Amino acid sequence: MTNIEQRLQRLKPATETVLGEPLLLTEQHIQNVRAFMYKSELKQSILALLKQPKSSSDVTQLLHTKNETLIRQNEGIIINLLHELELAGFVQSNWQDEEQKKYTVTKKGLQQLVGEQQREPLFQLRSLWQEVRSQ
Amino acid sequence: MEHYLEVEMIQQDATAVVEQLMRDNGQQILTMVYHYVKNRQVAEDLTQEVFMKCFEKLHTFKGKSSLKTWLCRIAINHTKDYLRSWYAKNILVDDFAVRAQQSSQSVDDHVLLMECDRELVYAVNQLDLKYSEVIHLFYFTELTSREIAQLLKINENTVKTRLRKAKKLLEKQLGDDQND
Repeated sequence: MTNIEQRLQRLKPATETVLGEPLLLTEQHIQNVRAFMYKSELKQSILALLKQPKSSSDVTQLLHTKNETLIRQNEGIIINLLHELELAGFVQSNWQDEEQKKYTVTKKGLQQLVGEQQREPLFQLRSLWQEVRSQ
Repeated sequence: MEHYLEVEMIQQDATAVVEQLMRDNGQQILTMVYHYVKNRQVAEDLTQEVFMKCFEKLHTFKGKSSLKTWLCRIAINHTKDYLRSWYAKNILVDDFAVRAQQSSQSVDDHVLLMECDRELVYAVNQLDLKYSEVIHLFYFTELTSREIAQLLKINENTVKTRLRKAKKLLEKQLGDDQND
C-alpha cells in the first residue's frame, strides 16, 4: 500500500524521464503573453481616448506623449490596432471635412472598456496584487 | 481624462498581477494542461492562452476562491474546451503513444529505474480520466484535496474516494505487471 504511495511521489520526475526533457515554461512564452497584454492595454487606452472623435494621428500623438515606448518604435501599430478594433465593431470611423478620418468608440466598444461597468476593479486589483506578492 | 487615467492604472496592475502569476504558477499550469492534452507543443500554446484569458478576465474575479484556484479552473476549462474541438479529436498527437512506439524498439537501453518510472507513467495515463485527473492534480500539480474539490466542483470526499480507488487500480495494474 505504501509502495504505490512512494512510487506516486515520483510521478513528476518519472513523467519527465519518459518525456526525455522537462516541460518548461520558457521566457519566450512569458514574452508572448506579455506582448498580448501590451497590445490589449493599448487597445484599452485607444478605446478610452475615442470617447471623443479623433484621427489616427491624434491618437498616436496622445499616446506618444504618454511615453509609450512601443509606439515610438512603431507608429504604424496604432493604425493596425484601430483597424482591428473597427473590424471587431468596437470603433467606427467617418470622414470629417472630406479629408480626415475620425474614429469614435461604439457602444460595443464601451462595453470592452475595463472599469466602465464597475468602479471597484481598481481597488480589487490592488488587493489581488498584494495576495500574489505575499505568496 | 480622469477616467482614461483610471483605465490605464487598472491595466498596468492587471499586467503586473498576471506577470507575477505566470512566474509563480506558470510551470504548474503547463504541467497540468499537459496532463490533459499529452502533447508538449499544444500544452505550451494552451498555457499561454490561459494566461491571456486570465488577463482579460481578471476584473471579473470575485475573490470567492483563491487566485490560484481561479487560475487553475480557467486552465482546466480552457483545456477541456480544446479537447472537445474537432482538431483535438482528429489530429492531436499523444506524446506517450509516440514514446511507447519508440521505446519498444530499444527496451534494452533503459535502466531499471527508468522502466519503473515508465511503467508508472503509463499506468496513470491509462486510468479513466476521472481517476488520472485527481492523481495528477494531487501528485503532480501538488494541490490539496480541498483545492482539487473546488477546482473540479466536486465534493472533497469524492476527491478522496477517487484517489483511493485510483491507487487501488494502479496497485492492481502495476502488481500484475510484476508477475509477468
